[in-house]
Amino acid sequence: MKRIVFLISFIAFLGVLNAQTVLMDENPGQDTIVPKWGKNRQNFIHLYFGYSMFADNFSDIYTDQFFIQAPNLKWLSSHDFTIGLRYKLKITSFYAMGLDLGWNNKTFSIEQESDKSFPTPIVHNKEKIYYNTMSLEYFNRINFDRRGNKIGKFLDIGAYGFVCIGSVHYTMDILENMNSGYSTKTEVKNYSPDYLVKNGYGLSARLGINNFVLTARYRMSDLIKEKYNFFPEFPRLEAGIQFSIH
Amino acid sequence: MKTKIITLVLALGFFSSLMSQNQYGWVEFTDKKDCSFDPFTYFDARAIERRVLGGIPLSDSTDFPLNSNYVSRIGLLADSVMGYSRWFNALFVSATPTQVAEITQLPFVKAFVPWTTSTYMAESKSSSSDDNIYADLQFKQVNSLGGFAFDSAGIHGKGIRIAVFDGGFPSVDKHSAFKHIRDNNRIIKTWDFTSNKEYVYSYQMHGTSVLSCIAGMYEGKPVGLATEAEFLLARTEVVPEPFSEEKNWAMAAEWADKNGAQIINSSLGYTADRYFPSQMDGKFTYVTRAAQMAFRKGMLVVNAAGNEGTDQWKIIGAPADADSVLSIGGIDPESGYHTGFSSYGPTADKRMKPNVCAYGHVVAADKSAMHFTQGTSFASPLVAGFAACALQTKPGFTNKQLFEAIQKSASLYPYFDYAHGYGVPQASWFLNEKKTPETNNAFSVQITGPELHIKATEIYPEAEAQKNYLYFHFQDNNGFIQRYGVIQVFQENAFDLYDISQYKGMTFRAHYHGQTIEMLVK
Repeated sequence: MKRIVFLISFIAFLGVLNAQTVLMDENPGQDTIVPKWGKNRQNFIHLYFGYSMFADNFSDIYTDQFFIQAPNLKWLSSHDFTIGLRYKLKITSFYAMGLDLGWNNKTFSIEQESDKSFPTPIVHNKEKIYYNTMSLEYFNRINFDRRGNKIGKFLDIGAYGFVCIGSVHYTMDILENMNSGYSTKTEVKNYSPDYLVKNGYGLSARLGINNFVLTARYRMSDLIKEKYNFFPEFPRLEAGIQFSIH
Repeated sequence: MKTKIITLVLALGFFSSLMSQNQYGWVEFTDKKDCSFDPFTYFDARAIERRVLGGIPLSDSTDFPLNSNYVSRIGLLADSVMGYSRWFNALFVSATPTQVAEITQLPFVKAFVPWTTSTYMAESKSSSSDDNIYADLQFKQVNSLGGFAFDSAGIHGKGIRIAVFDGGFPSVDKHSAFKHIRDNNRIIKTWDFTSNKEYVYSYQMHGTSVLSCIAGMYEGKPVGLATEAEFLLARTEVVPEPFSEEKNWAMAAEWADKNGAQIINSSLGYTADRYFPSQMDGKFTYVTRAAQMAFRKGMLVVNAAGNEGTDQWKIIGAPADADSVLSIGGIDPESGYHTGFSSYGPTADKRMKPNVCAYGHVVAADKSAMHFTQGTSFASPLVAGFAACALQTKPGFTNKQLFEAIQKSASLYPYFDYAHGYGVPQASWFLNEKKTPETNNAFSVQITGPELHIKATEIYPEAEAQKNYLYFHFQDNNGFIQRYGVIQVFQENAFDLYDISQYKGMTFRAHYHGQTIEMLVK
């Protein structure tokens, strides 16, 4: 008996299913809520990728007692890759403030010249210092144009702090054995060199149009610990481009 | 050092391009003092005729030219003067921020209204070149509006002047789809408002496709309905120039008025780059106000609803938000109801839009042949062509009467919703002056307590199942539709809602097989 009841119910259910196909069912009465999240709404958050190059060099050291010439940066192979999340809080159509959380992978490639002294006087085939940080930035945004729900043209001015999450001094040497004709490649990685600081701060500026951003950062704090005052300071200014995903 | 220089040059170049950009905008004047105007020398005879017919004064202050002294003074101060609007008593200029500051200090300047915007146009895609498929859709897109009936009655929009605003009309001067128009010298005037010259037969193909949906011919058969109409072709759109299209639209509308246009087709719209959906209220945007003014001057403005149906924007763009603009939504020829991309209504102030709809997937001319394309951009010219034919049948109609009649003629009237408006306009209304329901007994509605039941007494067989669409809505006392939908019916118990208590006091309407039933939800 239960089976018959079930069968009848099932057939009736199929009948209901077959009775109609809902092609469209719109509820404008419930669609009129203004969203709070959006490119030019109250809140907006997005991912971005960035690539910067260093716009200055290691700093020479002048003191009363000595002068140390800094090494030169190999500027094409030195860079700062960034991935980050940027949050914007709209205050007015022309002013917003925000926070930017970023992971920065900096690579300082050192020119191998005979008179180099930093970090050691040894000349290698390649020598790089990797410095990875997490940074948090507060910024003020000025928008230049009237717009709809778009990012538009903007200028950001901000200040950031960073924490080092990993640093490496890397060298690579190739030694050729004249007798055998073979060569030996030697890579050395010195993790967390003692002369590098663990945190710092700086200023930043960005100019952007929708997804495309020109960016510049100036590090105000030193990367070299104070007690290593005979080491040249790393480049402070970097400039590059960012692409925002939105 | 090299790095520093490169970086600095890049940054400065970018910064200067961003910061030192000239501002573009309308300089609005306070008055038209000392200006005189003779409508008989300014207007085309057809424009005079349209005004007399519509009971519109031959001229008013909005037709008067701008004060030449004001124009000269601004010309000396601004970098360049790029256009003007008699209707809005304004001059479009390019000026530095300093110049703008000086201009706004002048006693005869009411305001400086800066501009930045961009447009949408319909996406278009070419596909199969199978002539049979072309012929099938071409036949349907014309006959869905009752083109066959107009054709049988010899109505092809003869003598009706249509202005078409678009991004260019490449190949219209040599394409076979427009030969019949060229041979009879029915392209009356052309003007490129983006570069102030007469030549418009280049640039964006969109305009060519749009024009073909008004009046094109392919293989001796019509692509649009108004194959005997006259045309004013205006290029108003530029890609990728981001600021001037609305200005061009407004100027083109005045030009169309001057040259006697009775209908304007604008398959263009302005949305997210500059505006928010809440500003689509029929008053906010400049182009909407220009469209309203065009209507006041006696022209019928037919505008695409927009292709934002599946975007976050979702609703119609400007100027389709104007209450006097006939806004055209798109339907899918395959399914017979709303096509996904077609923008929805209502306007921000909750007025019904779109007004009517037509095929949003069509066969249209491209630069050298025909192609399939889609967008409300092509639904709009199909209706513009329809409107020209309708006006030919009712030559005494004003633009307001024509607007209302097109709505009344539509397939769902008096039912309407925010996806289809009143449905697809039908030629038979203009030829018979009445709309005959297919039946008066196709379905019944029963509201018992909180339950609503609809029974269908007529159901087409499977092969014609597309005709079994049941449209329904709940409309509140302010005229706003709280809920609407479309159901495909397969059996007698067509539609049941078991709790409609939230719609208490509202009007329920349903439309099925040409019959509309209206009931109050108690």
